[in-house]
Order: sequence, then structure tokens, then C-alpha cells
Amino acid sequence: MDKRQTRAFEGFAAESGAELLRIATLLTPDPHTAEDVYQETLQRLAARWSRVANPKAFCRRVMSNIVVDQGRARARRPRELRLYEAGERSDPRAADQHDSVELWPALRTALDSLTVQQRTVLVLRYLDDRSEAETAKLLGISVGTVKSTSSRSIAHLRAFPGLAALFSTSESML
Amino acid sequence: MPVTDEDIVRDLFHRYTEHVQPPDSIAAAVTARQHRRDRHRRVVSAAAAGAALAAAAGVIAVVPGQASHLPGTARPSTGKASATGKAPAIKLTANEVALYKLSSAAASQPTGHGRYVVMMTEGQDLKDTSVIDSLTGDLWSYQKGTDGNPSGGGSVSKHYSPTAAQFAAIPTGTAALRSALIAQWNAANEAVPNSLRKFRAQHHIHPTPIPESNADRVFQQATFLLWNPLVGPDLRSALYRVLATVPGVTVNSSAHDATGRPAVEISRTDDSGLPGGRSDGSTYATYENPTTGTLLETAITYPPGSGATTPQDPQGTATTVDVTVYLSITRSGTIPSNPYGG
Repeated sequence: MDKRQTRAFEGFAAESGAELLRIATLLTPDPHTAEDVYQETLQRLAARWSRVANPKAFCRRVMSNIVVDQGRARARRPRELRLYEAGERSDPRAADQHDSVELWPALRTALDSLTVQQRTVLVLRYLDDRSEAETAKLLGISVGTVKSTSSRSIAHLRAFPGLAALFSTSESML
Repeated sequence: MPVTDEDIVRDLFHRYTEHVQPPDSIAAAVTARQHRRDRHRRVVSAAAAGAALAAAAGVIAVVPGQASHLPGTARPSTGKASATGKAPAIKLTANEVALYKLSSAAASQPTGHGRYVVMMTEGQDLKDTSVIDSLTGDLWSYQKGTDGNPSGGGSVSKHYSPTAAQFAAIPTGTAALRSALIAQWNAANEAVPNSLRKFRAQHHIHPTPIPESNADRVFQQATFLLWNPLVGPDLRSALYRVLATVPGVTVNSSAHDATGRPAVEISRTDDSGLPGGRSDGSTYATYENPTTGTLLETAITYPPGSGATTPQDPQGTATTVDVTVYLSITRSGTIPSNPYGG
């Protein structure tokens, strides 16, 4: 990377870094892994910066690949219970303990119990606000698969012990 | 207002992540690492090695005489030599003496055995273990972040380096090697892949031609090859002799690397004027083991305004030094696992 490319790259990271790390936060089991995935994504982008026409799409695709690969590596190891350490800087709950202290561990556990593809579809659709067609294109799957995956995954969250109450509350509001 | 399950998921996701902000240090670490890789990547590619051999054949470079050609009774009165028509007595400069010593030390080293080279390094913000396949040039890289910087690992860069065989095919005569280095530098820096050409056209990017002098080119390329552990004893030895021909090179035989090991320091400040008329001014220093001619440390010093930025200095107004210490370079018959665990 020459200086101009470095400036452009750092501009991109400053502008899009937060949304990328937020995606990684939902896709991975803990903040450390999220930062690792975020960094590895940026590193792969930096290596190809001058040849990548659409950095945002590139990062989303790369990130889902990294998470899939990590899932494979982790599947070989015994599953460990992961909890945030108290007062940790990147604990997303830290500033929002009021109403969410019960909710976030439940959401985390629910997300981790989904497959990587289910999680990625949900995150691209509902955090990243991608259309079904965009999500399909980014993940290299059909629009039909996006539709069925997201409805099945939402049903899974709905039925999840710590989250069920939330969904039923909203039902009573209807 | 109807609340669907989708709305609830959307709201949950946004609230769960709304406080997440990436530390600036990550993007800075990524660009620093990429610069380091770029600097090391500017070595000969497979195609460039062939072009270099062809180019080297047609070029004669002027090199200083070698120690073995010295008349035994030579006095440093070279001023009179041309007047009397005799062959001039050649006085070796201190640089030449130091680099020729290093050249001999490197030549006496055995060629490494074992398909993989394992190189452990430590920089300001991370420890890095690189494993390079001498047959394919593939690179495995494992990193351990220090001071809270993130770790990574296991990624493979295919054909990252030239292979040991490609290095072995580079000529080792000083003049031929010098020409080969210039050809390699040109091939690596001026060749534009079609995809990049298209990208530039689409985005109306018109890069200015690279202004580096031949001295800059030879020094940069020679030091990039010195970095590469697949370079064998003969080529390493020849590279030190070429460095003795490059104007502006500073050699300090009694230096020490950042960890206090005795070292020969070879450094040079890029002197090519950039389009703005101002030199880039970064200084690249390499520290070599005086008895084996192997790499101990590289240090790149970026002066203010040369585009190197850190989280503390986003505008790049301070002098930054990027030091990498080479803790060990060993050979292995197999690909070692991640030394940092995980």
C-alpha cells in the first residue's frame, strides 16, 4: 500500500469499522474473538486493497468465511462456557445494564446455538439491514434459502428459554 | 404500530451492539503489518527472476576492485595513478572492509536443510512466527499481540515468497546481481496487473511514475532479499558485496541490535526526490550477525510527514521507528503448529 492507499484504507476503517465489529460481535461468542475476526478481516482487505472494488461487500463475505473456518476449528475442541469478565471494555452490556442484564446472556446463548449460516443470515438481514437478495448474493446462497433460514432461525430465538418472554410480551402488545 | 418478530430481532441486535466501537489501534496495527509485508514482498517474483537474468546479461556495472586484486605494496596515493598511467591503487573504504567481511562470513555458512523455515520475530505490538515453505514459497503466519493488541494466526499466503530454487537461480557476480536487483525491483513495482489497470481506469486514478534512483532500487531490493531466509549462503554473500557499491550506504561494524546482540548495522536513507521535490526520507536499517551474516533486526525510521501514522499521532507529525527483532531462524521438516497456542 502506498500512502494514498493507506489513507483511503484507514478512512474506510474509521468509517466502517464500527459496523464491521458489530457484525463480528453478533457472529462470534465473545468480544476477543470478535476483535480477532474484525482484525483478520481488515488484514485480508489491506492485502488486496487496490484490487477490491467493493470493500464493504468484501469484508462481509470474508468475515463470514472466517467465522465458518473458526467454527470448524472450534468444533474439534470441547465446548467451553464463555462469559464476559466484569467491567470488560468491550462488554456490550457495560453501558446498558438497566434492562438488559438478564437479556444479553440469553441472546448470546441463543445465537451461539444457531449454525454459523443461520447466525450470519440473521445478522446481515437485521443488524446490517441487507435485503434478502443482497444477503443471498453476499453468502452465495439462494434467496429461498435466505427466507427459510431466517424464518427458522427467528422461530428458534422465539422458542429460546430466556427470550421467549420478550416475544410473548410483544404479542400481548398487538 | 405492528411489532413483528423481525422487528424484535432487529431491535435486539442493534441494542446489543450499539456500544461496540473498534479501538483505533486495530486499523493502525493492520496497516503497519501490511507495510511491513509490502516492504518484504517487494522481492523477486517468479517472472521477475527470469526477466532479471535476461537483463543482467546485457549490462555492465562499475564495481570497485576486490581485495584479492590489490597490489601488495599499494599506498593510498591514488591521485598520481592516472598521471603515470599505472593501474590505480585501490584503497578499500571502511564500508567495503566491513561488508566484504560479512560477505565471507555468509559464504562460509552451510545451506539449510529441512523444507520449512521457521522465523520467530518480535515487533513493538506483536510477536510473529512465519513458516515459509522453501519448495512453494507459501507462508504461514502466526501472531501474538502484545500490550492488548489482537492476535491472529493460521492464515496462509500462497506463493508469498520466491522459492529456494528461484533464489538459487539469481546470478551472484556483483555486476550481474546489481542489474538483476534493478530488474526485480522494476518488475515488482512497475508492473500493473490488468485488474488494477481496470480499477484505476474506473476510478480515474493516475499514479505518478516511481521516482526512485537506481541506488534506492538496488539497496531496497538487496535488503529485501537479505530479509528472506530462503536466500542461500552464496546469494547472501553476493548481496553484501553489491551493497558495498551503493552510494549512501552507512555501515557500522560495532553496532548492537535492540536486544543488545553485537551486529553490523547497514542502513541507508531513501534519497529520491518525490514529485513534490521532497525526499521520502525513510531510513531502512538491517542488523546482521557479524560471524554468520544472518539477520538480527530490521528497523525502518519514518521522518515526520512521510505518511506513517499511529493511534497517538494520526497525522504522522512525529518520527516513527518500526523495529522487528529476529529471535530465531530455524529449519524444520514439518509445518510446526501455532507456537502461541490456539
